[in-house]
Formats: sequence, C-alpha cells, structure tokens
Amino acid sequence: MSEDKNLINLDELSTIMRSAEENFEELSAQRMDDYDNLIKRIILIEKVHKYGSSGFEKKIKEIEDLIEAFIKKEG
Amino acid sequence: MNLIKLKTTNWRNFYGEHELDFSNKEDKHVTLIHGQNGTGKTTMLNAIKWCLYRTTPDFDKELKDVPNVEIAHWDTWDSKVENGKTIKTKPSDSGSIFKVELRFEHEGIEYRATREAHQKDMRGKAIAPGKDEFSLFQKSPLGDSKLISEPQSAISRILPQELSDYFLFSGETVGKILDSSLGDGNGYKNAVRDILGFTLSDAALKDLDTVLQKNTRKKNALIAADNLTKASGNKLITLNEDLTFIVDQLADLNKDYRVADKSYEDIKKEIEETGHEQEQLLGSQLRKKEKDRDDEIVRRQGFINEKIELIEKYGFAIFGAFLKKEVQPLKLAKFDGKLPAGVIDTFIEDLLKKHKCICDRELAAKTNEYNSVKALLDTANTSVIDDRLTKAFTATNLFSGRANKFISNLDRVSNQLETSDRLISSYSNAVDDLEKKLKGFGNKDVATLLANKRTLKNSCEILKEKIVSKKIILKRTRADIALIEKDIEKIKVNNPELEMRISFERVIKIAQKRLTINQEKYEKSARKTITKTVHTNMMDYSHNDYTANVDENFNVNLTVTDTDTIAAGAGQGTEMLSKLSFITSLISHSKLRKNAESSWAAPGTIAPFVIDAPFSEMDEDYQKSTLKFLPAQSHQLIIFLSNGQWREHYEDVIGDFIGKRYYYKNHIKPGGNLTQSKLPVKGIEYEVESDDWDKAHLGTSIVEIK
Repeated sequence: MSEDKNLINLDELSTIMRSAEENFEELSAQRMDDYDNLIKRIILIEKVHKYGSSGFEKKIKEIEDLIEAFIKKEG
Repeated sequence: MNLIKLKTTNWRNFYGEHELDFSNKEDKHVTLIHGQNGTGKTTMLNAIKWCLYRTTPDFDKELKDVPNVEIAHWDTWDSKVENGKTIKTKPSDSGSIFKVELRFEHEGIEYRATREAHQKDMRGKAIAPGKDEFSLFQKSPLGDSKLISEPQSAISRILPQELSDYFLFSGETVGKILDSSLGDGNGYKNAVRDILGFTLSDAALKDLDTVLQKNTRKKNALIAADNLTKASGNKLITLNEDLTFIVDQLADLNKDYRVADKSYEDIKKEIEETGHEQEQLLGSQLRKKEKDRDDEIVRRQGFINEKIELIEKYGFAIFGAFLKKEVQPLKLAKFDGKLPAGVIDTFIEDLLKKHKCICDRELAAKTNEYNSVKALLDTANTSVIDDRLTKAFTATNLFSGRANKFISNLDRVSNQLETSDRLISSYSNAVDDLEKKLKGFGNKDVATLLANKRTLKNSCEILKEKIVSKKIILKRTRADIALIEKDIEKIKVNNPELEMRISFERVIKIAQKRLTINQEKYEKSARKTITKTVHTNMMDYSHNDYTANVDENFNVNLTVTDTDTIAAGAGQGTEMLSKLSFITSLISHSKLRKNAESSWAAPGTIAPFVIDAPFSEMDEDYQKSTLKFLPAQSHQLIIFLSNGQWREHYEDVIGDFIGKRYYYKNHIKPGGNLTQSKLPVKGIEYEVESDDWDKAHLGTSIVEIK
C-alpha cells in the first residue's frame, strides 16, 4: 500500500527537524573565529576604500576575492 | 578631531582679524567664551561650520550674507560731507576679503582649513556673491604643509557634515537635532549609529548583499543551464525577480507610510492648537482616547508579529512542511481515551463520522481525502494502520513538549489579540463620539481638520496592513526559494563552478548573520551604557525623580520613577538637560571606541563639542549641573556662554577644567547706548563694551582672560 499523504510521515518529520536544527546550529568556536577574521578583513577593505578614492567595483571585487580565498582555505 | 585655533578675517561683526585658541590639555580641555547677547557667539560657531562645510544654519544659501555686515554697509559709518554732498569713504583693502581659517588635529595629524571669498563690489548693499575658495593643508612630520587635492571629501571623512550637528550645535536647536520624527525617520538613528562606529560594518553588510545578489544571479544561471536542474533554475530566477520586485514595493510602501504618518501627526498638532476652551477640553479628551487607541493598535501589531513569528519559526520548526500545507498540529488531548487496543476500525469510523482527520483536516464526504481514509478500513490490515498510527503518535510524543508550548503560546497570543480588538473598538467608539461633539461646535476649520485626520489615519492603517501582508509574501517567497535550493542540493551535479557559487552563498550568509549579531550585541550594550549615564545624570541633577530610558530608535524617554508613567510636560529645562546628557553620553561612549582598530566596528566618531548657548530654558540649578557633566563627558569642550547666564559660583564646578577663556568686547558707535554691564570672573569685573568705535575697533573684538 502506498504512503498516504494525509498521514504523518515520521521520516519526513525527522528530516524537517534535522534541517531546522541545522538552521539553528551555532558555529563552533573555531569557525566563529574564522568568520570573525573574515569580517575584520572585509571591514578593512571598507576602511581602505572609505579613506581612499578607488571605485565601488574594485571594492566589490576585493570582497569577492577574499571570500573565494576563504572558501578555498576552508576546503 | 581636536580644534586648535580659529582665525577669522572680516567675519560678520568681527572686523579685521580675530583669533581663538582652543585648549587641548587633557585635564583642562574646556574653552569658555563669554559674550553678551547679539555680539557674535553664534557667529563664531557658524564660522567653524562655514569653514568646514560652507553652510551655516543662518545663511547657507547666499554668500552675500556672510561677510562683515559693517563692511557691506560701510556707508552707514564712514562718510563725510563736501559741498553739501555726502561722500563715502572706501574702507581699507583688507575689507574686500573675508576668510575663516581653522586649525585642527585628527588622528595625530595637524590640518589647516581655510575658506575665503573676495567681494567684487564694495559699494552699496547689493554685494555680488563671488566665489569662495576652500583649501585644506596637512602638516607633515617635518613641519611643512601639503595641500590636499580633494579637501571637501577629506573633511567628510574626518567629520561628515551630517554628523557635525551633533558636535557643533546651538543649545536652542538641540531638540531639533534629536527629533527622530524629522526627515525620513531613519536619518537620526543612522547618525547616532555612525557616531557609535557602525559606518564601516553597515557598509560591509550592504556590500555583502551586493556580492550575494551578484552571486545568486550567476548561480541561478548555472542551475538553469544544467539539464538536471533546469526546471528548478528557471523557477529560482523567476522567484528572485519576484523577490527584488517585492523588496522595492515594500520600500515604497514604507516611504508612503512615513509620509502619511508624519502628515497625520502634524494635523493632530494643528487640531490641538485650534478651538476655544471647551473645544480644547474635548480635544484633550480626544487626544487621550486616540493615544489609548493608537497604543493599543501598536500592542495589537506586536501580538500579530508575535503570532507570525511563532508560526514562521517555532511552529515551522516543529511541524515543517505540514504547517505550510495548512495542516493544524496534532492535539493529543483530542484523542485521549479513543484508542483502546484492537479498536482501530472504530477509530477510523469515528474520524469518518466526524469528517475530521487525525491531523484535523476536513474529511468532506466523497473527497479524495475521505475516500483515502475510508479505503484504510477496506484494504489495509490492522497491523499496518496500527503501525502508522503508532508512528504518528510517536512523532507527536517526540514533539509534544514543544508543540504544547507552541500551542499554548499561540492560544495566549490569540486571546490577547481578541482582548486588544475589543479595546480598540471601544476606544474608536469613544473617539467617534468626541469627534462628533467637536464637530458640533460648528468650527469649520476643526471639522475639515478632523475629516483630513480621519482620511490620513485610514491611509496609515491601509498602508500598515499592506506592509504586513507584503512582508508575509516576502517571507513566503524566501521560504520557497530556500525549498527549491534544498531540492537542488540533493541533485548531484558535477559542476565545480556551481559548487563554488553555492559555497560562496553559504559563506556570505553566515558572515552577514555573524556581523548582524555582533552589531545587535554592540548596539544593545551601547544603548544600555548610554541609558545608564543619562539615567544617572537625571537622578543626580533633575529636580524630579525621573527614570530615563533610551529606546531602540535612540529616543530619550523620561518616566516618573514611582508611577512608571511617561513624564509628559517634564518642562523644557528638564528635557534640555536630558537631551544634552544624551548627546554627551553618546559621544562619551563613542570615545571608548577610539582605539578599536582591532574590532569589527569602526572607531567611533570623535570631535569636540562646540556648544552655543547651552542653557536655553534652564534654571540656575540645571545650568550648574550641565556645566558639571559636560566637561566630564567630552574630550574637548568649547562653550559660547551668554554673560547674562554666567554666575560666579559656576566657577566652582567648571573652573578647574578651563584651559582657555575669552570674552567679547562690544564696540558701540558714538552716541550709542552703553549698558555699563560687566563680566565678573574670579573677583575681577571685565568691561564688555566701550564706545571706542573707529576703523580699528569695529563691531566685536575678542579679549583673552589670562
């Protein structure tokens, strides 16, 4: 007999709960530090551009490069 | 930023060259300038503003109003009669230039800013505007000066013009700069956030959003280009277009709401100001009922938001997709005692009889749902049904704690909403009655205003509803996007570029979340510290027992401590005290961030406090208190103080902090009235006016008190 869509499917509920858990998952201390460092470097780019005169596109490119490097390092 | 010296040439009533050196010593960081009313206290504050930004509150448009007025009207003071004709004597050449020079230090570097203009026509009142020239020099460690190529931009980076009002201001305008209802409603909060050092992190969040959007477009294009994910990719592109459209619509609606709300508040004030005594009494009752109703509407909105949040977050986390399908959660209580072992058939029949499924869904006869449940009786064996029901109740047990909490919260909010609706309806009826009575006075103006007010109120309500509904659509669209993206994640596509885009998105979202959490934490702690300082100041210095609270929009609210009621009409002096206290504690807090280079936030904006006439509306006690906390909460303080408001005993509270001190000497034209007033400072009485008006002594001059 096929599963009736009107009845509770425990597997489906478990999956949803797991994904809900993932959404609420706190970053580990190490990961928090990594992200805080990334943020600091983004802020630094903002600071350099605030007091410098190079364009918006260049700033966005620098932020993109920084995130790409972060992902590569992350593996 | 620290001010070092102000030098003016032919600036308004300060003819010739004048200088003010500002004290920068750590323990004596106050410069006090005494002046009679009308002798140029605001003029010197304006000189600083004009030099840095070319604008002043009084004469920001026409350059012709800026120069020395006596030079502009030179014919009124220097003329001779020859052969029966009046011959005007041209003033000296120096009168053709007016200039302000400001020396200041910022982050260890000394700067010199100069703004000057030349008059083209020295004769008559109509002076040609001319062009002003602005230069900024930076002093090198070797002592020589380097001209900065984009001086105005450099000034904006040191102290942005929009923030300067919080550092260079007149006491009389402090209420205006702290009024969050002015402008677009966000300007004030943003300015406070800038002072607190949010500038760079706000910019980072905005830029991360730009990077995210760019990445999303690329990612969706890659998804749409892959055969395995093509359908989902196209849906994603459409949904993202919808999302951009909804966000724009929401921004427009918010803007419309702010405009309508502002007009509504204005018209309310206008109604207050019209009418005679009886009308005013009814008007005041009307205001009270309207306030009660509006407060209740705000409370009701809070309940709605709470309900939405409960369902969107908590409820969704528990019931997931089921909630999305609008299936009500299982209520265990409903089935208690109805499931004795071996009577599964009875249970199914019971469901069919009541036309309600176990999940509370309607089971209308002959529908697919009804037939499916009915089919269980005919086709399935008991153990399958038993097993399935066991699973269902295991699931329910699994979540029962959270589910029950969710349901009880939902019930509570729903009850609160009902009570709130009843209250709003009762207040609205009272408002209607009072409005009818007011209209009965036959005052056409009031009737028109009341009609306009009602229309505006309705517009506000409609706009509010539209905003709430748009926000729900926005959330749903985001949820739909998230669902499709989850589906795509399950499809194993061998595309490194796509994988990179997905990782990119994840990293940006986490970084944004982390940065926002940091900002919220810091903003909360800043608000707490500022509240504490303002509160302490109010407890120490206010005549009454007020509790000060700084709300999330950085408005200072005073409540009567014992009754916890809003301190309506606390008095202008008290309000002035609380506002000055707020500004100083804000700057004082910002000062703590001066060395915050290693932190995620920008160092706070630091600039001297230059306050003209800080004592507006204050009595002597408040004046003394202000002189006590202002030096304690600022790193450099420059006060232009009216002679009439100076008391010798103030020396006891501020004297020790004064590093530089001046008084204005007013040179009266021959035949003018000398008031004989003197300025008493530390036992010496200084002459603040003289009748030695000539070319060397025009208008006001500045004398240092050593």
